[in-house]
Amino acid sequence: MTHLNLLFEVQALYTECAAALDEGEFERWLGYFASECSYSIHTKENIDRGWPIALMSCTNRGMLIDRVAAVLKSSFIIARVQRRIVSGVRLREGPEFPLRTQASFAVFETFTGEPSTLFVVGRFDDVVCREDGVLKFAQRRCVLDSSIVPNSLPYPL
Amino acid sequence: MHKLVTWPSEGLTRVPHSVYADPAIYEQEQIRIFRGRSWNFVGLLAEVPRPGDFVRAYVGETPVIVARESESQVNVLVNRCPHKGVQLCQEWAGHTKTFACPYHQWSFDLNGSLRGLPFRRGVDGAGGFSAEFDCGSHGLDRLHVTTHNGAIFASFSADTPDFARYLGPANLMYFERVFDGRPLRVLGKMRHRVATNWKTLVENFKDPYHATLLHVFFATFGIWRAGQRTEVRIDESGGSSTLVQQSPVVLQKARADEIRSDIADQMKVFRQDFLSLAEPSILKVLREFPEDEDTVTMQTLWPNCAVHQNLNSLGVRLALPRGPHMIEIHWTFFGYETDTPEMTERRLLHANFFGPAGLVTGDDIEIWQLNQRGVATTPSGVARLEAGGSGTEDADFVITETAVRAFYKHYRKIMEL
Repeated sequence: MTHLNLLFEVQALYTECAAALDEGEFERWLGYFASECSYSIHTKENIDRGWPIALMSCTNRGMLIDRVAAVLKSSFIIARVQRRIVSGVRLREGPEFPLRTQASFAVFETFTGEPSTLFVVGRFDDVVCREDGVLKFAQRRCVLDSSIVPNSLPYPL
Repeated sequence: MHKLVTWPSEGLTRVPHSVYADPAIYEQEQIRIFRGRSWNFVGLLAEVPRPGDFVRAYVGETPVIVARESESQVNVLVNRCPHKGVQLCQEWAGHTKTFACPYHQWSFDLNGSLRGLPFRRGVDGAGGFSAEFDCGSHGLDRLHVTTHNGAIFASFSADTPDFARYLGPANLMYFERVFDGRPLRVLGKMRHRVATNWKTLVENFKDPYHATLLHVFFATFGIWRAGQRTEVRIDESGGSSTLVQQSPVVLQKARADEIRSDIADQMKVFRQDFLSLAEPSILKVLREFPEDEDTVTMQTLWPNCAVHQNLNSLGVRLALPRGPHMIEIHWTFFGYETDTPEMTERRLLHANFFGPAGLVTGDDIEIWQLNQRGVATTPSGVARLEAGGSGTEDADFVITETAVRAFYKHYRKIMEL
């Protein structure tokens, strides 16, 4: 039962995190990360080849804050609505902390006057810790299935 | 031949929108440029270090296989079985002795020769191929190849000038700043598909005018660009050029007291209230290229390739045409085998400025799409290139489109437009 509660709690973290981004609430999104954290977006191609490059790589919280500031204040981004579908959340290691967790994601995009399209599909490969009693991401790695991204990837996933 | 477009009488300062949208012009570009006398970047020797290694790449829209046959020989083969036209190789990379077509199992060795032909004599003496069928004339199409300090280029034409002459002395010098002969280490690939024309990217890479105005990241975080020392070096043909600029990091050091209000007033994006980076160490740069440590370079190689050396990031990118309204951009990031772990860390961090999620290139990607929407819906329109005069000579100032005009000078010659 404890395990189920924990899984439910992890699921809630994933759901809230996705909702914050869908709603453009980037500051709130930052709140789901631990004080010591990292965030990166990779492609499966690079991982399979053993290449370290990431499409987005924040190795600490400060970099994540700067990325959000850049999105909000300094980037030219064509307006769009994004919708994240997160599914299949699972505990790979736990219930002892830090947890290793995974989930699949699909992100849809809708531009003004255009029908909705599928943007990217992939897997979250994360480390979750408990900080001040609340679950937070200590590490979030997004791995895209495709090696090719449509247009640009301005927002975190 | 009937001209595909009548170029506006102003000449070099105008580009008709139809060159970005007309399928007939696109088709001629494939023939005259990408399958003509051009050197097309197809990869790094470091991607195929051992005999038998191969990677998949493109020359224009033609899919090719880059295969290392031996220590000294790299072949570039069209990825298409000569029997029925089936694409042979689907994986991005691998190691093999032969490429076999999945359809009828024709198999080819690493130089493209047809080596295996099942049921060549038929079954039970019936059918099969005649004795006159010459395996030697049914190999994979093979391109001409040149390598330069670890970079591999391919050409469909036997008459493409040798690589040094192709780039010209000034561009060769900057190419060899990055490709200096040290063995390279691949750090990875980024690929994205953007709804624009391939020339829009090339123009963007050659245009220092936009950087100050569009790339707000630097201005927002107090890194001054409008006054930065800039040189544009253009080869004799006009096709290739290099943009040399003061490093953003050098500018950051000098920022507060150098900002001139007469410049700032012209920049909508300019902020008096600079934000400060929570993690300013992202802009820490390790010294390399000691002969000219304070500059960054953006080099464009005719027709659709660019090499960047900016902060500690090194990379090659290709704007691969996928019809008049679509491109794929393939980036290869690398360092040197001799890099320290600290240098590799810098190169990886500084990749944050580039690619589909790039803090700087992200702005460009959006503009390229909007640019295509404009030109594709008004084929009778023209672009105006009058910044920095009307010529195609080298420049030592930032507000200029000279390299873009030079590109179209060469383009018109090759395309006979």
